[in-house]
Amino acid sequence: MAQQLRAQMLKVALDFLDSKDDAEDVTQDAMLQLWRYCEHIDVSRNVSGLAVRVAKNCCVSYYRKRQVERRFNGADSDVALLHKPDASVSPQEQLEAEDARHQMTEVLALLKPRERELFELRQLDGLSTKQIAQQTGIRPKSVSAMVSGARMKIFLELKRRMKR
Amino acid sequence: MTDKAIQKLIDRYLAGTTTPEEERQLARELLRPDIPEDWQTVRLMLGELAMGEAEYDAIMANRQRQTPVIKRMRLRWLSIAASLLLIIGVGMMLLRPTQEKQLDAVVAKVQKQACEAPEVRQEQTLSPQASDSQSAHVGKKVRRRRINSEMVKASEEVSVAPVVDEADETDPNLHYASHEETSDTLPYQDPCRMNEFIAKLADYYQVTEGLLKCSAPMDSNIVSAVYVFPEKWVVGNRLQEIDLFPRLLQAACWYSDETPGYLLNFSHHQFFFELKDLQKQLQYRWIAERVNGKILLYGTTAPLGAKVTSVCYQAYREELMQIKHINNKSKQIRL
Repeated sequence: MAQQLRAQMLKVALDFLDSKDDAEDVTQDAMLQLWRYCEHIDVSRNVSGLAVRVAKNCCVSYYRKRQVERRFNGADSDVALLHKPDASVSPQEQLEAEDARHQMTEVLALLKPRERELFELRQLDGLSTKQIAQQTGIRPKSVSAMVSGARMKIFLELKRRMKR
Repeated sequence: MTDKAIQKLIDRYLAGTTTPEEERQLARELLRPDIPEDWQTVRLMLGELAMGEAEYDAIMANRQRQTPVIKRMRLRWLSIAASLLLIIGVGMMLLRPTQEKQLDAVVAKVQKQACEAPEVRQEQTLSPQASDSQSAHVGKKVRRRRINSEMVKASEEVSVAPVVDEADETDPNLHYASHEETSDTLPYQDPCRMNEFIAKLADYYQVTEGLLKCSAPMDSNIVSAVYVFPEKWVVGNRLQEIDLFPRLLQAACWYSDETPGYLLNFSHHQFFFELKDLQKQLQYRWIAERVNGKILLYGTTAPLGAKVTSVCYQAYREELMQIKHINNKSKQIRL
């Protein structure tokens, strides 16, 4: 299983990066992140789709790090900088991202368990309404109604918090 | 996409009627800077994963638009270089005398063998050649036979086996470069990289290699290393679990599962990994295990076929268990 996911992720990275070594590095990072996700996520879910998305994310953050390095005249090829998490993002942006994550967790906690599950199946696993209906046994119409309910709740709550 | 179309898509997203593809498209549209507050909220809702994916797709799409010109340029240069190489190659083939060609084939063979001679057993592999020039020595003969039989065994395991006699069958009509053996289908992945990786990990977590105290008779050909990692370590002001097991798993996953001797077993508490290096005639084994709030990592490298015992590993493990035992005792006494 791990091997298969790794191969999938490596393919994503190889498409994106020119160097095979870089792609290997990114895949290692992606494996680690996926591992972390999987500790919270039910294994029966669409892990393969998630793996691809995680790999894409790792590619993008690697790409950003590279851009930052180039901005600093390309002189700083320090390995430590490259492997520091989020070296590409300024402390300000990092704080904002952290805050956003925090807000989202709080808002998600307000949802009913079923609503939350459906919302996350769409948000994290990228499943379609039909696939969710098949997996959960709920009728497709009810799925989209529940997803809509969850999204509206989150949207309004986040808006309210932003205004404060 | 126009602002109006994006707003329409957002409305449908909130109504739960968008498809995953439409949501990906929405994420791509919301990548643009300076968007209204409502749209920022939706961006937040789509989540970091979706936004990262959108950025990936956008970069790729952008690149695809740019590449054709570069590709065409590259192709032209490549074709010029290839034709030049072809001309030089054909010229060299025609100018080279046949005899020299044959000699080269033999020399190439011998040189290739020298490269492939396993480092550890250099002394052993050289001895049969030495014995050829000397008068027959019984002891050496026996030893040579043993080595030969080992080599046969090794050649059964690998598809590539250095064969000297083949040089005699060289077809003089073939170009010397065509004698290059290409039957090695697996790219060589040096198991040593695993050890380098472990050394780097130890360095990162500031763990020094432990002293091997072992009561068992030691075979000087077997090299073992032991590290005791803490399960948690301080990051900033917090104690955080160290991710040694995922890291080891990642490193192990780098190897193709068709690597000779590949054996991988893992859980959150144990990690077991074995590899064989048929080029250097070595076998590798790594074991990691959570013991008493610590992680014991043990690596052994031995010549192929050597008997590796687990006595040293056991001793270490017991020592760690002992510490717990002693701790418990002292607590009992205090109570």
